[in-house]
Amino acid sequence: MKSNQYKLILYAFMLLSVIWACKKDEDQVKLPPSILNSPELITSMVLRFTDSTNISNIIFAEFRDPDGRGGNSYTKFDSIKLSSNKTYFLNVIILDETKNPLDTISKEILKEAKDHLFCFTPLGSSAVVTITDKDENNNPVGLQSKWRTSSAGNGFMKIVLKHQANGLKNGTCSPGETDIEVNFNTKIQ
Amino acid sequence: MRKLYVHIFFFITATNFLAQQILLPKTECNLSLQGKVIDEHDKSALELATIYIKELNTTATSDENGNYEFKNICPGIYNIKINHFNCQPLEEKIVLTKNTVKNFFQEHHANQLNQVEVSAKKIEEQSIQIRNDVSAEKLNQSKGQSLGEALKNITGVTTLNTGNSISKPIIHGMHSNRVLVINNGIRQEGQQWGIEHAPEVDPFIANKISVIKGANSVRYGSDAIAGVILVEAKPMRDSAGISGEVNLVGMSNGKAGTSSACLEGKFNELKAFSWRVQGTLKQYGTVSAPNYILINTGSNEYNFSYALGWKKENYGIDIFYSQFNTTLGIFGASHIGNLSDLKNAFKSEIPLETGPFTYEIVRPFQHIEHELFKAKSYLLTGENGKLSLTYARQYNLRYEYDKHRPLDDSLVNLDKPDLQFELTSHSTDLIWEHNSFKHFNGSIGVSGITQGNTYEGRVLIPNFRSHNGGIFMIERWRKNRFELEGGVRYDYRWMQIYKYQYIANAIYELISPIHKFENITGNLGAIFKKDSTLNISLNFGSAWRAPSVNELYSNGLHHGAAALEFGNNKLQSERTNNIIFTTRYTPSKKLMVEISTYYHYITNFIYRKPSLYPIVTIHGAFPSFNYTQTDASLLGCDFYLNYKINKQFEITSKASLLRAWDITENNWLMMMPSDRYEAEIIYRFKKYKKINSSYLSASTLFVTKQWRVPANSDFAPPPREYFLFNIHSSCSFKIKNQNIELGFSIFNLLNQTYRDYLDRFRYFTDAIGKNYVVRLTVPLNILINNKSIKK
Repeated sequence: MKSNQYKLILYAFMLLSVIWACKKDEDQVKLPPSILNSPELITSMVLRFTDSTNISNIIFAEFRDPDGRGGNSYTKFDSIKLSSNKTYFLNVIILDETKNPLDTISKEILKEAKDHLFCFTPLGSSAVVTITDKDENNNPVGLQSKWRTSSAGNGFMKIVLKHQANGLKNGTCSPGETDIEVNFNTKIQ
Repeated sequence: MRKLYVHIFFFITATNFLAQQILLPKTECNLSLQGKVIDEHDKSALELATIYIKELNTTATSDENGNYEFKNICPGIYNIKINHFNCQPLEEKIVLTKNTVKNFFQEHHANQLNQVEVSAKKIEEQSIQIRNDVSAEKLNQSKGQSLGEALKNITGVTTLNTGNSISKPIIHGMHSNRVLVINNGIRQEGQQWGIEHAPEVDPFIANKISVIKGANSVRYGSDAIAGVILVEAKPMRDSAGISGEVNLVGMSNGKAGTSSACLEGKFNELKAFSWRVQGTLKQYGTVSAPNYILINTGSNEYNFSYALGWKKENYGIDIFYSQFNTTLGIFGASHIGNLSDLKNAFKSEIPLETGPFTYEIVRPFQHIEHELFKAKSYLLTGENGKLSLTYARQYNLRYEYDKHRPLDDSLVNLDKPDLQFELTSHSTDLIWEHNSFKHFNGSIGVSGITQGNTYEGRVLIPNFRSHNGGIFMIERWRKNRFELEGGVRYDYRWMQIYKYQYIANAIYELISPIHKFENITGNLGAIFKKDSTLNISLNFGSAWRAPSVNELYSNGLHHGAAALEFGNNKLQSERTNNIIFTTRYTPSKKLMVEISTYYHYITNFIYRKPSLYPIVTIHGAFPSFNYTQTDASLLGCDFYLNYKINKQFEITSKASLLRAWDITENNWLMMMPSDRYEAEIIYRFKKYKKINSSYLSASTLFVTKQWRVPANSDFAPPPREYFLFNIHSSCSFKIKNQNIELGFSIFNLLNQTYRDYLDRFRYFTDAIGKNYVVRLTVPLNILINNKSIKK
């Protein structure tokens, strides 16, 4: 083969390299994707208490952190106000309020119940919590529970959602990582 | 991956044409060789050129049409020399097996007879600052490990690790954006700001890795506050032939295997052209600490590069392309939900999650790709210098997957990373270097970089576009025992941010502020060489760094670190004024001592200041950090000694000390390496039969406890001091004229349990235990050279 043919191939190759390397660049930086398309957020935890003696008596307590893990602090942090020495049924509702319509994360948690566990830790005047719902492996979940309140006074109830995937879940709170952790003030009257 | 195939395809098609020429021999003595002698440049026929066959001692002369002819030649390999009065002599090797037509292209240089002398004059390297190389022996020992691990062999260089697989170099206590990596002459542009983002460079590309310690903005641009790491490939082949090298590395810890191969060549027919192709594959399984397995610490890597060169005596073009791809598992137990999880992790003696050995990588993990394309051309500008123009494009892609997959199944199926960054950079440099003129030589240049960054997924750093320009001049004066160097540079940086700012109540607003930075930096150095035994150098340097985008705008949770980080868009450029005093004393061939003392005074030093109260979010409480500025002083000393007791025994000793002080706060600075001492004793065996350059060495490293930290500023107190022992050995032997090299090392020989202050996994786990490493290097000197046969 002749030398100029080599050269031709070589130049063609070099040129192609350059074209190839430059091809896919966009010269403009796009605007960032809308925050609404960001991966799922957890922004709010709503506690819905039903009085066992009067089912029309419903009490809410809410924690709202509209930017989720964004790093700004909460905007709403209710105390749990319940009557003393009574039994309540609790539904825990977890929401992503940045989505429209708002996204009920608790449904997803229910779907993956075998990987999740709510843990309730009372301190001072608070309540004794019994989890009433079970996952497919007969382990507690905690979206639903029964609260027996103590005598009047102030205290805390720490509610933690543990993510215990890959078979880590064993009914206790130690394994896994924390998805949600809110330490509510309790006011038992 | 698709791109990789396309590049391989191009390469193969380009080289195939050339490789097809190799055929098997025949024997008859009636062959003819004929052809034309042609001017390389204007393709005109050259009359009266003499064609001389060395082996046969015969000549032919070209006619007015440039034609020549030889008859009745035996098959064989011949060296042919072509002379023309106006040209440079041309020599070529020809393998003759049948009647051949061969055209010679001669460089025709009427009245340009000085060219050869000019190109022979080497242009001096443009820095007076002392360069420390990783020795070939140490580079070999670190094969199969990351770039950071190889760099640790230089005194004053340590690493900031995230476990075993992510290793960032620290020079004089500074890392990330303060250290520049120059890969094949190009500034590495990745997501350097992250402490768990290691440089995306395949160490097998390099045949030389060196570090210039100290501020060096003048030559390399902004950010070179702590120093510059130079990763250089072997020069391209300069004689015809094909050669290569295969490297195989096996490690016991992580049952890891690395293979790397390189093939390069140059063809007889095309003297100016040279090529190289190289690739690396790495596979690591989960590694183990002495007492347990660290789950999900496997990783894999596949890299590919090629280089093409076209070199004439007064101009040349180099093209280099490389691709780096890696997937890194992040130790599962280190990825925690919030501060309570972190506290639980500290309390636990062994990591809260552990598991069996596997090669599988699950969440959390990172996937990183880096592409570099470079085209460099140079032109000798007469007798007085060299002009070079370099263009480079880099593309960096980083995917980070959280431990936690999304709850929503539709999101799970998309399998999108939780964090994704894409950074594209284009850079151009135009530099003119001039040769000695009245004891001066130097260079002048301009450079520009434009970058665009985009993210998807969770917000950590915003999108941005930036443009940087710089102009510099360096002059060096040399007379007798003295050398002086001075340089000055001006830089301008423009950056526009695109970001959604959180207003309130889940409402965000798009903002696009513009930041501008400009700076003048300078450099002044002096070397005094008494004779070959004493070399004293003193260098004053200044360097600056614009705050990086994470320091300005990061806002949110850094998951791996379980911390909320807040940038500050009011930050100013930081600047260091640095003095380094180095004495290199070599009284005899047996002894070499180098002591280097340095002092950095850094104004507006940017760091992460812990705030007093944790922030409560729905995920629980998190410690928070704000980027702030302070004035800092870094004072330190690096010491190196090598003493050859006799032909067999040799000792090496190293020490690096650093005191880092926050002047404004009147306290120690966080995250600084503690004092390190190393000693190595080497025994070199005498040559035995075909086995040569074999050695056995034992080394020890002592790292003191870092107690120089501000109180209550860290999640856990710094770990205690530790000793490590390593063993290295190597030998090379000849099989069929190939020099095969076999090496063996044991890292952490005593299987010590230890934690390093600058390993981010120290909060969760011990560092890895004993590791046996076997290395094999097989050179391939094949084909063409004298043996191959041409049509």
